[in-house]
Amino acid sequence: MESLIEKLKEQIIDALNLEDTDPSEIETDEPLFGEGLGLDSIDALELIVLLEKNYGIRTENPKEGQKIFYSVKTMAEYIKKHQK
Amino acid sequence: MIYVSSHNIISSLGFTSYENLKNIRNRISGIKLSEDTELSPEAVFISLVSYDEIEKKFSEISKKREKYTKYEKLLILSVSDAIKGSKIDIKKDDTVFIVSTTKGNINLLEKSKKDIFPVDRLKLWKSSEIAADFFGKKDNVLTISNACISGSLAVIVAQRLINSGRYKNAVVVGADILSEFTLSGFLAFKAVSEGVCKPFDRNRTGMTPGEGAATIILTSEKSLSDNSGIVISGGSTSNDANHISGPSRTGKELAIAVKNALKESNLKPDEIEFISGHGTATPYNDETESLALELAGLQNAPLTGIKGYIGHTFGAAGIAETVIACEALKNNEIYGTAGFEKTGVSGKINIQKEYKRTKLKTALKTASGFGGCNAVLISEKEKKIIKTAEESETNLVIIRKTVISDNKITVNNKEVYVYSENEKDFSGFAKSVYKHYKIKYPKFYKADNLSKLGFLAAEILLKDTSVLLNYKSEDIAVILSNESSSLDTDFKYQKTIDDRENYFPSPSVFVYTLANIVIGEICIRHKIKGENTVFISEKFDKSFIFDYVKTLFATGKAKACIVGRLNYGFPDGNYYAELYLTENKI
Repeated sequence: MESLIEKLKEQIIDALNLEDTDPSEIETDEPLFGEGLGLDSIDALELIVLLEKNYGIRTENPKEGQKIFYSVKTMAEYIKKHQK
Repeated sequence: MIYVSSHNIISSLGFTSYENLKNIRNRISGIKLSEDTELSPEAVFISLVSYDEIEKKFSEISKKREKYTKYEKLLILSVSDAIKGSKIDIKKDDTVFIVSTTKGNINLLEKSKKDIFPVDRLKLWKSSEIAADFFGKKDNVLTISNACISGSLAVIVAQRLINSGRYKNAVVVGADILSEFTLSGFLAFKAVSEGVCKPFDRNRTGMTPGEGAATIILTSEKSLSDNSGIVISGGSTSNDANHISGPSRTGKELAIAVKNALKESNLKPDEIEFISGHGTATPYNDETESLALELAGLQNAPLTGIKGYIGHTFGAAGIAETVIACEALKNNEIYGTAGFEKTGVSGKINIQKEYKRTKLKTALKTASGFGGCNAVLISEKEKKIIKTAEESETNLVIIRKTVISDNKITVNNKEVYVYSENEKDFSGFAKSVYKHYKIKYPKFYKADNLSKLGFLAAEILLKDTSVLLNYKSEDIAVILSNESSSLDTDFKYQKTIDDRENYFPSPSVFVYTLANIVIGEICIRHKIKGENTVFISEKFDKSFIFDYVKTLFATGKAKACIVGRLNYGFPDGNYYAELYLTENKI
């Protein structure tokens, strides 16, 4: 789980062009869409692509995203559960 | 007065305005489920123009079918049909030819189509020239690419250019084709409806992409009009300054455009009798439109959205929907909104479900698009008071000038920054400028090259000036001239869909595949909410662009303006920004 979380942080930085952001600055349990990273609706859509591209997981309903992308931890848990 | 001389609509419902109207009156939709895997790996509801019909109709007017692309054929067919019903001379220098499109020949980026036409056909100005040349027109050709308001905006620009005396007539044509590019992008955006789109409805789930073309011919000479007595009397644009893809939460900015258009037409909100709405049927867009219309005092006017019939035809949409507004006035009829059953928006508006006949004299058209842009256009019948827009004194003063090119930045012709690395590397250059000026705006890194260039140029242009503070946000305009539109990013986006085995359309790249997103970025950063337009042309016609800004000043549409050339070259990657901060000093 730890290594997945670390990898995920790097993938998020890369996919969302969070230049000047260090993986250690993304708190595992904190809300991804809180104040800190300044993410918006386009980033949420890009995270859906990230899951599909890197983990082969398709999320059809964008509304699901709110729960999945709550934090890096919830994302990692979702991947663990759904990855084939 | 700007009279309507003739018009045309080409869509899934037919090749003339008449055929389209007949189907719309009978509530027939041209939207169908497409399982064409060349267009999209997943089945999707879209509105397509029959390819065989395009070829057949085109062979009736030209023997050189292979010389033109599908997009160019649509432009040419639409103008050909409209011009048949008009007495204006398209070739004369007092007629301007204006093309509106979002993506032009974008399908030529596809691997399979790459070598059929030269690469410059991807340039929007080039395809406009080709279409105009079909009619023997070499000069006075303009191209406007401003996301989903392009069509409405092109009509507004035509009206202004005629009002200012620069031209007597205008042929305004808009078109866009459906391609894998556009469909994959909107699907990745989760913006496409599961079934046929349902504008303003409680169960709407998104838009239905469509293709088509539309033309409206305008003239200042009553003798060249279609004798319907219908005139275009007012128009205005605004920017949300909120988000590059999501609409304003309040609708205030679209309401500002409504207010300014009404002022120009000398009408009160309750005098508007019909609204040809934007109604894309995405959850957020329709909601914002309803809030805006209520805010603007248009809650009682019957509102029709036609995207349930022909889908969202992008560059053609605003023109087709203006034609619909004019035909409603001419025939004293209001069309039903296909797909609409029960209201699903919170703004109080009067959505017209069924077709009805009623006396009409005034109609208003709304449009909104990516980049936060909004446009409003008013048409009227038998307008009594002959009153051209009140021209006030203008004195355009350039306060500051910024040029960025070849690793260098100048302000008022004085060098202020030079990038020490010799190699041509825009992203390195942009990053070093960002750091040098100690800008704190993390979203900068998400932007594409064109937006980064515009962002930096505007940042340096406005640095240490308080000019913008002297004006209301809605009185400041951003007017740009551009050559390669978003092709640098289009090319990058195409790469994400080129390979079906590795097919991951990127929403964050797709959102920048429009020439006007950079205006949205500048407006968000500096809270600018006024007029905004991107003109696409091969060369920077500075005197034309500055004259256009003077027209905005003269008609009270703007009091200050960021204006100039902004280009990220394709395929050479040469970047060039030449921006001016101007104000009307009287």
